[in-house]
Amino acid sequence: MRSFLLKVHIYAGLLCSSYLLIFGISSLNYNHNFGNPRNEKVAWERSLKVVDMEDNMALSEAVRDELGLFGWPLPWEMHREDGGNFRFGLSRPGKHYTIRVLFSENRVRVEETRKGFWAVINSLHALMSVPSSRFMVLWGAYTEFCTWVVLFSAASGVYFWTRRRKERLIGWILLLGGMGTSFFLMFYIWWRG
Amino acid sequence: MSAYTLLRKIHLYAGLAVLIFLVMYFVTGYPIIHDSWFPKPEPVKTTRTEPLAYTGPKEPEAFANYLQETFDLRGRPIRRRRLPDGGWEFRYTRPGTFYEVLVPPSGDSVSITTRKENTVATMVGFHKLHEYSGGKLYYIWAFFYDLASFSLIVFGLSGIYLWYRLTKKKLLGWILLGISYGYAAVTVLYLMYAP
Repeated sequence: MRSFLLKVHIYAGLLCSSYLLIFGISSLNYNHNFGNPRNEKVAWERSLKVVDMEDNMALSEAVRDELGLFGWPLPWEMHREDGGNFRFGLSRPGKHYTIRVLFSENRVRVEETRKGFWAVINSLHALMSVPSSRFMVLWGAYTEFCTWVVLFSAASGVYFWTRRRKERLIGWILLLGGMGTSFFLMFYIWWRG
Repeated sequence: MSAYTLLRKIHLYAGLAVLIFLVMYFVTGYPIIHDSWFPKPEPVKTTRTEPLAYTGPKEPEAFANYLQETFDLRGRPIRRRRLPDGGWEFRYTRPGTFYEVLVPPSGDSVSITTRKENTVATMVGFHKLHEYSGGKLYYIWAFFYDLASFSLIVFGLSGIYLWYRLTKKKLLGWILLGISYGYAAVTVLYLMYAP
């Protein structure tokens, strides 16, 4: 039993090794904000015949798909301009687009903001999917898998420790000390924070 | 002490010390990754109006501290701002509880809206509690958060070394490591450079 659990602990841990690193680094980044987005702007345009729709969200999604982009159209960045053109924001991990649909010219103008490496690392923290990207569904499955691996590894790690005669005292001190402090902090912040 | 023994001890001791804090992060993260699976009852809101006789400096921080102490608004100040009409808006929060405080331009009263969150929203509140701000208690929390985050990096890297020293047949391990880092690298590059 111990041997089997140890193999699962090791090999599942290896498979999630990069996820642990990304999760750890992005968590540190949330606390210290050391990786600011680069916000490099690039403008481009493309010929595109778009049929106008009443529903701004449906229109945004249709334009996104026609352009081969992926991400979330942002309802608070959707505007009908005076000349009848339509402008919307599209966001996805690592990039933000401001897209202007020029119906009369059959053209679309895009301002793309590239946020860079740290923004991508941050966004991979607990990301499950991105609209119109089949590839990113896999990351959601990886997140799910690694979440359970961490919980399994925590439980199996404690089990391995209990099977060892050595390091009992230091183990109990660390386990009870960490447990007591964690529960006390959570309770106190919830109650009187 | 050999490098293997040292890293094995670090892997074990760090795991035992941050166990509950780390497990809390993965458990409270679950309602975030599966938002639609969890119920979202409306939070319970109550509003009260109290007389106010504040004569201290009209600096946002001093005013916020006075209101917090006078009306027992426990939590981290997350907003302190002057409104266009000359009034003030303050917000304080802790996991499970949120206060919105409005002071009218006359400054003679204060309206306090308290929002009590449900269990799931409280869990999410704990998950999103980070950064060194809001007083000693929150500094301790942020320090534990750092420890747990750093431990994840330690587990990921020390685990590779322990596997390498512990097993004789390494092919499966190399394949899994290759998949893990190869896939992560492809995903990062995809998000950085895909159109």
